[in-house]
Order: sequence, then structure tokens, then C-alpha cells
Amino acid sequence: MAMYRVWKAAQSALSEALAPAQRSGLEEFKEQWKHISDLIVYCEQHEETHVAETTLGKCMDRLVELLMAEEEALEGETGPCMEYMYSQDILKILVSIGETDVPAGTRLLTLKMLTRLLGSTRQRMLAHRCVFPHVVSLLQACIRLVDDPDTTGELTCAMMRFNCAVCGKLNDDPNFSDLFIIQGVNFLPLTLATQLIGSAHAETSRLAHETAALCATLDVPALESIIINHSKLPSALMDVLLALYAELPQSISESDARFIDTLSAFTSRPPLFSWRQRRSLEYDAAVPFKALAAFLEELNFVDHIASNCTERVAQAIQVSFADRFLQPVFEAKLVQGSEGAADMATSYLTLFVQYLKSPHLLDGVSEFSLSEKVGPALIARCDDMSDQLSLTTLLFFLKLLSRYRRHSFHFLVGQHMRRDAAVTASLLTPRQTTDRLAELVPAHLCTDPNEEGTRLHFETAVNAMRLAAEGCAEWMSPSDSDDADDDDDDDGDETQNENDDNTAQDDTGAVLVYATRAPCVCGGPFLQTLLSRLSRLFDQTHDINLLVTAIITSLLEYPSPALRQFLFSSHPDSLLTLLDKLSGELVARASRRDNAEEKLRLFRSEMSSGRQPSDDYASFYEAVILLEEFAKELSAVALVDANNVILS
Amino acid sequence: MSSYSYLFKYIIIGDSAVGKSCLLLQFTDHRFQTVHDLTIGVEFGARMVTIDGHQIKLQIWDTAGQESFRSITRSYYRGAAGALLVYDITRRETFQHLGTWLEDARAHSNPNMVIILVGNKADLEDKRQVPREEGERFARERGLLFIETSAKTAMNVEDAFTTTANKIYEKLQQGVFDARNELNGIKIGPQYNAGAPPGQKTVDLSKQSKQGSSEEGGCC
Repeated sequence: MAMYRVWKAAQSALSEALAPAQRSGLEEFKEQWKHISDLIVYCEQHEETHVAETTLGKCMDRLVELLMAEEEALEGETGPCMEYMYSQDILKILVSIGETDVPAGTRLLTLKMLTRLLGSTRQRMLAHRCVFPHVVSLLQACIRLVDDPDTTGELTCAMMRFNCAVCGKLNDDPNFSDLFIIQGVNFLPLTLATQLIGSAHAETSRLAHETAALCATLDVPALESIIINHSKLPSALMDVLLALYAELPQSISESDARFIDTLSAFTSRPPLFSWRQRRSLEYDAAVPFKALAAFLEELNFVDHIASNCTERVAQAIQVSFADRFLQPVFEAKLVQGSEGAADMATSYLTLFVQYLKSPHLLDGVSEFSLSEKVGPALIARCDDMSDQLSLTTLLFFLKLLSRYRRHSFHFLVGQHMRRDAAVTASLLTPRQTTDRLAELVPAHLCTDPNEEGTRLHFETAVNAMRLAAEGCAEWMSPSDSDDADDDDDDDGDETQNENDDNTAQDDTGAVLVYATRAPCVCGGPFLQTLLSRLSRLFDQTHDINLLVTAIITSLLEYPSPALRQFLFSSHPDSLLTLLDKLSGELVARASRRDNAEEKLRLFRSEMSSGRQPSDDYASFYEAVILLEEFAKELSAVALVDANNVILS
Repeated sequence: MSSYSYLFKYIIIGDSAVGKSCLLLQFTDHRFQTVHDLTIGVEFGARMVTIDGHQIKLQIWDTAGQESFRSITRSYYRGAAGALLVYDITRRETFQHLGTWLEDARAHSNPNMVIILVGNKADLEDKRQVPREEGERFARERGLLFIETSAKTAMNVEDAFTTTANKIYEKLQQGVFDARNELNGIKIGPQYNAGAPPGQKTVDLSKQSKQGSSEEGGCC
């Protein structure tokens, strides 16, 4: 080695002495290539000399620099250096050395050089026959090397960088992707990315994520089938998700209070954790939500892919999300888990519903949580003995309904709507409805009779119902002939079409019964549970009442005239009938208290000013005020519906 | 490669095995290769020609003729000033497919691209299936230039490329092509000199490199 250094120094001095004042780019390119060739031969013959101890890396860098200088001078055109590289098949030579890694270390240098070249050039060189076969060959070698125990972290990262550079070029020219598909089933950049997506090495994992996202969203028809039928991408995504989920607390009992607080805050107002930013890596291990942030970043990645890929790929990811993640992780906990485990699992599901943007993944959560096994259990938990579990579950349903997915509305309400002409007799006009709602809380017990509050409720209802109409537009558009006046004329057809309408599972986009004004009876366990909880307005906690009324309002805001019509009817099972009963109960309970009116007003004023009300009957007064506000909310909804504000 | 006044980009298209790569090889290297080596992806060649006293660099992209590579070929139409649409005079089906090729070219290229129809393998007169007149008529009716060539004997190969270059140059003079818009496949030549590398120390093996340097350097 010492002898080599002496010799190298002598060569260096001589080289500088002999260097011509100025050489053309091509001359220097040839010279550098000659150096590279000679260095490789030297290192092959002198095994004690590692390539890292030579100038091979610098010479390779210089080759790329010359190519880029030429490209810049020629404004992106292919020039003599690049032509020389093609004519001499230089990449073939470098890749064949890189594949065998003889002399040792050349593989890493070759990967770095090609990464730099592909990452820098503007030329569309990837399809060139002197480029892509060698890039293909090197990618195949990388795929083989991933599982090789001798492959170092540095090399793995270099392989992913190279893969990323290839994908960058494919993104510019998606048509070239066909050249990287082997036997119609293996898209090399995706295969390599999938292998390393769960890498423990942060940079490698980041690059694998970038590459996988790019591959999955390339506009290349052949890739769709490869991703769905041959790649391991959908399952690899879930493997990473599962591994990160396993790091999270699985039950309330095993979590510290700070984590519970964080989770609770996230479910109400989720902060953005982006897979690209990876803020979780910067958190100290002591940060209670570090693991949660890492998990949510990964969920954001899956969501990104499912939102940007083709419809069929998104479906495949949805299936994998349900079968490999949701079902194995959550089903047992939700159906038969301890209270703590069920509570935690429901909170996580609520978080997913809040976080996900992909309609397919949202449908995945909806279909899983309302499946035959899980759905009834969750609905039953809305009325659980444990208030905490009821609260968590009610919050889940509130958030789920706010995403306006067809499946959730249909499962919870739509499928239980039945056309029933007999209901016609109990239907009320909008005026009758608002009048009855206005009388729910007798005037002497009203605490906020001013017009301002009513106007605010109306504006809120307009916005919420417009949002709901937009959210449901794809699957629930109102019928042209949904006018209540037409109902009598349609009676003859109703019997014939009853079954189709009531099943409400028509995928052709036909108008469903709940999007019409046809007289309906609405039932089902979810509505029954909600109304049952509402009937106990004066005997349960304010938090439960808030959620129950919020869910009912949310359902009424859906663009379902039939549902509103029924709930605002005088049918024995309707919401209005229940509210009438509650009104009677309110009067009876208030009459048993001294100075109820005065105390109510005082109570409201304390609540408004943020002070903690001190009365022993706080829960009663809270319920009365809630009933008053709820009645206004419902009136606003009825008024908006009657005036067709949304449609105008 | 010395400096040049203009750069014209060409694309060679046509069915598989009509001799596209051989035409390129003959034009750039004055060689003929008997073994058919299927082009996968694209091939690239360049040569200088002189037109009207100007040095013009022709940068030629040779494409794969197979259907499966059609999408790759399509992405090279854009930014080409000239196209050689090649068929084999001894295989009628290659002539019959010209309509599809032309349609593809016109759909994906700039509207001023000069296209020359090339009937190749003209040395195989005894196996001819497409009469010269038929090729001429096809070209005339579609506003194409026309020539018959033999990549094997080099007959008319030079002309196929230079006739096209002349036509492009003519259009350039007439202002039909805007050399500043690179989508037209034409570029004004640079006063190019990549120059010496700034402060690069070639520390080792340079003497050996100088002594043993050859134009075709390489390590294997």
C-alpha cells in the first residue's frame, strides 16, 4: 500500500506538469474514462488496494460533471461526451463491474455515479439501448442484494437512491416504464421499493416510501394489474402499519394519562402528520405521542397512495387494509375485548375516520366497523353501562357520519327505511313542525329567547346541509319527482317497486327511497338506540346528551327528505313524539323545584361566562338548556328543508 | 465533434426489421450489419452534414419497430424536425402498415415535421413486392418525400438523410420553423467549448493514461 501511495504521488505531480493548458470536454472525458479503466485494472491486480483509497470515485464524479457541463452548454441536448459514452457502452462496463463488485467497492461507486447521472440529466436517456438494459440489470442485482446478509446499510441506502433516481426519470417519461417490467409481472423499481419500505434505516425507508408512492401513481396501464396481482405492495403497506401499531398502547389501562389526553385531543382535532415531513423522527422518545405520530404518518402514506392511484389499485389497498389490518387488529377488541381495550380501539378507529382522505379507506373503516360482527356490538355500546365507552362510541359514530359515506348512512339508517303510505296521516307541514318545536320548552323556562340565536342556528343549518348535500352528491341525489304532492299518484307503482326502493342497494345511481319525499317509517337499532338515550335526557350526563343530539342533528342534515319527514312527524316512533314527551317531563320536573325559572337563567348566565355552575341540580338545568338549543337546531333544519335553501 | 450552425433532430420509424438501425449505422459509421439485432428502446446516432455552406449536426433517434414499444417510440416524435418512415420493399405488409405509422407520427409530432418515405432493401430487386411507383404514389398523395435505399450497399442512404435536411433547412429559411422553439426539433448551434475542468487534479495514472491513450479507451 505504501508503495502505491508513493507511486500515486509521483503520478500526480507528473500529471500536473504534463496537463495541457486547456482541453476540450470530450478530451477530458476520454481521459477520465481511461483513468477509471486503469484504476479498475490496477485494483483488480492489487487486491490489497480498496477502491475507496483511490481516486476512482472522484473520476466517476468528474465524468458526470463533464456530462452535465456539456448538457448545460448545449441547453439539454446530447453532446459529444454523451455520444462517446453511448458509443463505448461505458454504462455496460460500469454496471457489470458494479454487479460483481470486483474490485470490491465498485458497486457502491457505480450506484452513486448512476444515481447522480440520472438525477441530474435532463436528457431522456433512460430508454436508450445503451442505458436501460444496464439499469435493469443493476436493479435486478439490487433486488437480489437486499436479502444478502453482507449488504451494508450504506449500500442499501445507495440502492434506494438509485431506484429513486430511476423513478424520477420514469415520472418524466412514464412510457418508458414498460422497459422495467420483467415478464409482465415484475416492475423492478416497485419491487425494490416494496422490499425496503419497512427498513429500519430512516433514509432508506423514506426513499422507499417516495419510490413506492411514485410507482403506485404512475400513469401506466400495465402497472395496475402488476400492483394488484403480482406486487406485494398492498400487503407490505399493511405490514409496516401493523408494526407501528404494535408500538401503541392497546388499552386505556396500560396507557399513561398524557397519552390518553393526547389521543382524546387528536380525535377532536387531529393535527397533520405527513409521511413526507416525518416529524415523529424529531421527537424525543419521552414524547407521549411519538409512536402515535409515527403510526399516523404511515397511515397518511397509505392514504396518499390510495387517494392518488387508480380505482382498482385503491380497491386492492382497501381490501388489504380491511383484511390484514382492521380485522385482525380490531375485531376481537371491539367485539369481546375488555372495556379498556374496546375503548382504546374505538378511539383509534375514530382517529382513522378523522384522518383518512381516501374514499376507499374510509369505506374500509366504515364497512369493517359496521360489519355483521362489529356493527351490532358498536351500536349496543352507544348505550353501554359504562358512560366512558358510550361516549367514545357515540363520538365514533358522529365522526363517521360526518364523512358522508354511503355505506355508513345506509347501514345505520337507510336500510331501515320502509315506504309506508299509512305514515301520510301523521306527516306535519313544516309550519306545524316548527310550531311544535318552538313549544317544546315552555316560554317561562326559556333562557335565550332572542332572535340572534335563532338566526345563527339557521345559518349553521344552511351550511351544514349544503356540506352534507355535497358530501352525499355522488350517491344520494334528490329525485326530480320527489315532491310530496306526487305521492298519491305514485301509490300504484310503490307496491311494485317497494322491494327495490327499500333495499336501497342499487349501484346504478338510481334514486333511493331516502332521497325522496315518499312517506316512510324509519327504524333500526341505531335510531332506536339514539332515541332511547335521548329519552333519558334528564337522567344522564351532559356529555352523552351533547353527543346524542349532535348525531341526531347530523342525520337530519343528510339530504334525505324522507328521513326528516318521518322524524318530524307525529308518528309514535318519531323524534318529535319523543320530544313532546320530554317536554311534558320537563314541565313536571321543573314544577317540583323552587324558583326553577330564575335558577335556570342564572345557570345559563354562569355557563355563558365560563363559571362552573354550582347548583345541585346542575345536570337538570344543563338538560333543559340543551333541549332548548336542540329544538332551535331542529327548527332551523326543518326551515331550511321547507324552503329548499340548499337547492337554491 | 466540431461546432455547428444548426442541430436537426430526426426520428426513424417503421415496422420491425425493415432496416432502420442499418440505415443509421450506414449513415453514421458507413458500416452494414447482416445480423438483425432487435432494437429495444431507442438507439441514437449523430453526424455532421454540410448544407448551403453550413455545418449541420443531425441527431438521429432510431426507434423500436415492435408494437410493444410503440408507446416509447411515440414519446420521441415530439421535438423531431425530420422523420424517416421506412418500409421493406420485399415485404408488402411493411408497406401496408405505413398508414398507421403516419397517423401515429402526425398525431404526436409537430405539424411541420418533414417526413421522407424510405423504401429500403432496394438491392433485393428479385424479391421486390412493392413497386417503386406505388411507394412514390403513396408519398405524393400524403405530401411526403420519397426515396428507395439500400443500407447494405449504401445506395441513396446519404441522400435520404440529406434530402430531408435540405427540406428542413429550406423551411427554416422560409420561417416555417422557429429554431428558438425546441419542440420543432431544431436548435441553433452553440459556440460550444466545455473547456478545461476547474482546478481538477488528475492525481494518478495520468502518465500511463497519456502513454496508452487511444480513441477507444475502456477497461475491458
